[in-house]
Amino acid sequence: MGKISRLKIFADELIRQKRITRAIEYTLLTSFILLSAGIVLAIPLRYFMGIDIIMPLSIYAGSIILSFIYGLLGIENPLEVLKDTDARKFLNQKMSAAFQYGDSNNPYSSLLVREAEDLIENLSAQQVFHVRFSRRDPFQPLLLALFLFLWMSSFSLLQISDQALTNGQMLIDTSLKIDAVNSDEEDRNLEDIAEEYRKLGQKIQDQFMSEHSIEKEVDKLSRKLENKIEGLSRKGVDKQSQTFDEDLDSEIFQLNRKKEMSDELNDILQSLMKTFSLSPDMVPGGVRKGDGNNSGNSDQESAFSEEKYLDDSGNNSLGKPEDPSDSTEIEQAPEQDSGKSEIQQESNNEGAGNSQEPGSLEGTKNDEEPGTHQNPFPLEEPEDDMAANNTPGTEEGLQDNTYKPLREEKESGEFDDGNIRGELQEGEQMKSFIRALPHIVDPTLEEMEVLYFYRNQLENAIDRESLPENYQSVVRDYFLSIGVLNE
Amino acid sequence: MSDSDDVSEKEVAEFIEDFNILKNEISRVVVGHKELTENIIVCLLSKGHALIEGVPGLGKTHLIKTLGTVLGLKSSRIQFTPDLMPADIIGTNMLMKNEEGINVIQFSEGPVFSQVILADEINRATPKTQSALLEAMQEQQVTVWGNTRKLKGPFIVLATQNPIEMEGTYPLPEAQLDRFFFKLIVRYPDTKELGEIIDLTTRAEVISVSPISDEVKIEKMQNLIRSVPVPEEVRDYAVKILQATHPESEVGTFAKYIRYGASPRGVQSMILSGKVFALMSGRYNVSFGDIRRAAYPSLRHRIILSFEGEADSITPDKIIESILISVKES
Repeated sequence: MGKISRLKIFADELIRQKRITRAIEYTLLTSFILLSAGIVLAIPLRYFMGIDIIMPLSIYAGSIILSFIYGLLGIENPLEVLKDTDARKFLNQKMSAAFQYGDSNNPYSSLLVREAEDLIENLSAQQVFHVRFSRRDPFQPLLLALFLFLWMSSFSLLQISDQALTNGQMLIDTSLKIDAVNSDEEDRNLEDIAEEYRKLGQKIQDQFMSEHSIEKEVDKLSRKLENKIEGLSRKGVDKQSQTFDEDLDSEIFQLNRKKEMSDELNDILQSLMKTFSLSPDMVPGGVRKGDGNNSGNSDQESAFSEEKYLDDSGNNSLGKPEDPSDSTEIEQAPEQDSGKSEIQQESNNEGAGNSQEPGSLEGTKNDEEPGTHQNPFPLEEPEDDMAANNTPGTEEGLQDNTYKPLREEKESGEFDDGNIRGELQEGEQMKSFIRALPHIVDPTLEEMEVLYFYRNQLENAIDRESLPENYQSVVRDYFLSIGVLNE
Repeated sequence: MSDSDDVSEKEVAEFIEDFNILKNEISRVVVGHKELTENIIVCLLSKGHALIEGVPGLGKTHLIKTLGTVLGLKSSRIQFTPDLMPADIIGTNMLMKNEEGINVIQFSEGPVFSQVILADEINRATPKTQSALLEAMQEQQVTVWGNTRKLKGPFIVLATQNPIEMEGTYPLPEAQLDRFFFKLIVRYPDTKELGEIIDLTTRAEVISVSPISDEVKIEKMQNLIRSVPVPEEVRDYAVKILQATHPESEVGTFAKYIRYGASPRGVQSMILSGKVFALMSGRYNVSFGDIRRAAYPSLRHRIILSFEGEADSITPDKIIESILISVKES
């Protein structure tokens, strides 16, 4: 091996040079690929994912450093490296031929090695393994500049308005409201929704989203919240309709609680949608637009609401009505409990009166479907929860708002119930039933508070432009006659 | 092989000198044909045989006779004619009287028992007679009546043939063609060479050549050639060229004109002749250029043209040229 010592030294130089050359070429290639990909992904990454420039630059720098290190690594055989020399110098052929039959079996080896040594006298390692720049390499600075330009210019696309920032804060506030509503420990889903609102709000505050994507996200979350509200309402209605046993009163209370939560969430949602100019998929109360069971659910919900408010007022004497058409049970309720308040009696009377009023209206305004319960105030375009909850024609809306005026009329003796009941016609009456919870829990709302609340809702409902024109005057006249509305 | 068996620069230098002396001596009486002369010597040093093709009157026979003389080897000439029989070439057993006057059957050696055989106009004989040379060319021996007789080396058959389109010719069988190491084409001399030919052959003085070599020297040169190393990449290059001559090859643009491609003898021929080319150039290893130079004489008679090739007047040399352009060195 002594005769190839000079070649060995040269081979070591070649190996070093080859590694450096390879590392540089790997680095250039990696850089080119990353920059090409970066140009394509710059705006999407920034715009949709909100990634800051630190991350891509770190990836870029890390990758080219790794590729450089990878290029430096490797196991090279000195003989193979010598064979890998520039073919124009024929050194590779000399080396290949010299060791064709191994190290010492070739009679021409010594002559070839001597020739190779003469060749390397005038040959440097840099000549053999020089960095070969490809055509793409000069474009690398251009690509880098283009990438940075695209990334930076994407900031201008992300400039969001002050209004959006405010909305971001509102979303955070919304999350707090939802947290506040979500006092029920069994319902953890609200926590998730609140957390999502919080995150979204924070993201907007950090300006990591476009206005378009903000709207999209808020809409998505609103739908989620709507679903939750709907779930709460449906659960409450379904359960309540099936459960009138006194043993299940506590469950009913829980359901009432859910209903309250639903209403409160509805308020939050409506406020949110108004802010973001979104249209709700459902009317307040958890019923979706276009739902085939819309009216039926409303009826059920109304009954549920009645029960709640009667319960709130402390008059829980009404039992479960097994037959909705049987009004005698309702009328007997005061007799069953001699200590009932005046309001309860008035409520019963009012219930009877209300059962006639729609029939009367239907009889005069709409004779197309006699005997059916025609809702004179369709729930097509509720603007807010107040308006929606105050939908005229539902038993809840009509009945609850008559508590106070009816009592006043009774006391003054100025009004006759016949003036407000309309004409009774067979098959066209809308019968309502008032149910009250047993004396399990104390009322949670003051009576007057409830009445004023519904009066306000009523006023809003009447002022709605979307109400059928003919019905506005009818409803207004009705409530004027009972003294709930002022002229 | 120990270090003492290493080839020295001096030996290589002597080889080159002897080669040049041979070439120069022949060129004294043979005008032009320098490449032809070189190739014939290469063929001899590679222990091969050459088929020399050319129209009559171009000096083929003269060249070969001169070579035999210069080499100092026993040479003979066989003029192939249609009625020539195999026994006329290899010899036959004859009833003869020995020194004691007793009739005995003795083998009478034919002209093949020489070292330099001039098989003149080999394609004028029938294929049966042509095939009589097969064993001698391949195995350097002759078998008659069950008795095998070795031929003395160095042994080379230099056959001339007229182009096969000419009247009264029999194309050589492929098996015999494959036995020829080289096929050399004798071209028409150019104007200058024609002038020299006239000057040389029409004057009163006749130039003669004398033997300047011997079989020992020739064999030594032959042995030196055999140990010239071939780089792996050069060897692979030769293999790729050979494979490209096959009809199923996708290299080049002439595959459809090939009916049969070259056999492994073709690549043996390229490598061995490449070694001679390398050494006579003063190189100790075969290069790509040596292979390219050896490709034409080594492959042209081993490529059998298809009907399309014949119809389109494609020559094997054109096919080889296409292959050399297409096949990359590494």
